[in-house]
Amino acid sequence: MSTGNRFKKLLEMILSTQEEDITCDECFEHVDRYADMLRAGDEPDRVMHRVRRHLENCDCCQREFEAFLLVLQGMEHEEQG
Amino acid sequence: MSKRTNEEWLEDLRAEGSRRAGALTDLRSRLTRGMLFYLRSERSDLADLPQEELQHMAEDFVQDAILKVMDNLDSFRGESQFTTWASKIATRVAISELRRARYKDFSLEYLTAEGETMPSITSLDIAPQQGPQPESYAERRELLDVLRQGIDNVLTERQRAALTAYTVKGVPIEEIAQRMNTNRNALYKLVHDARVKLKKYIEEQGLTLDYVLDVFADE
Repeated sequence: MSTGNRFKKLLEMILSTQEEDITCDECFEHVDRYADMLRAGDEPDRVMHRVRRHLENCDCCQREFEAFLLVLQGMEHEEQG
Repeated sequence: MSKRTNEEWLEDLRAEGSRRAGALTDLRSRLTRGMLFYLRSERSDLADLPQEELQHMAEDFVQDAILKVMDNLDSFRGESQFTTWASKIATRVAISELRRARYKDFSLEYLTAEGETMPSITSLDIAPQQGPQPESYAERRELLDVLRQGIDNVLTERQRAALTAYTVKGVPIEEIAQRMNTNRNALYKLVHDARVKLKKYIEEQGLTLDYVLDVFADE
């Protein structure tokens, strides 16, 4: 990634920050329900909006969520196969 | 493999004898397959490991996770599928262990070193004739100066250190928290408050997200 691109991403991240946010623990508490809703294509409710916002703001939680989805995907493959 | 409802999972795991053993075997098998899929798919740091070692790693993570699942059965609220909830715990175990192993030899000073607040960003190394047009280059320098002033003037020392480690170096928040003798939630709040302050400062200088996107339109 070029220096310019990194700088742009940093500024985007800062300027997109929302004042209100839940903690990482609060996100973790609800993220299983969020994953099921996402995979089922359900409309997220207010709590799930807050989970989604935190995942947009927190790289750590986002990376963990991506890993979580892969674990779920792996389990599903075996059930289908 | 039979498909259990949430209630059946809880009943079987709380039962005695073969009913419980069967549920544990089933859960272990599912989680291990999911974990192996993840370890094979996404972890470039594990790409050189033989399959047998990945299998053992997956099994170890899942075993630790099952202990946590059994200890926390009463906290399962039934808002998701039981296997989803259990997978969440297993993922947390795996991510934590892998992260701890990756960063164990690094101090916070090393992670934030180089003597500047934003080292790789403060030195724009694009010559105007090779990179962006002169006008865009000047605008980018202006943005950089505003950001540096904001970091220097509105953030506390701890906010600066946390933000630098987290955003510039991409260090996982757990690792920064441990080295700053705090916890993940408190550190996330530190980083978040820093970002809110910087956002306010940058916007007070009349700069918006739309302007930034325009200046970096060719990136």
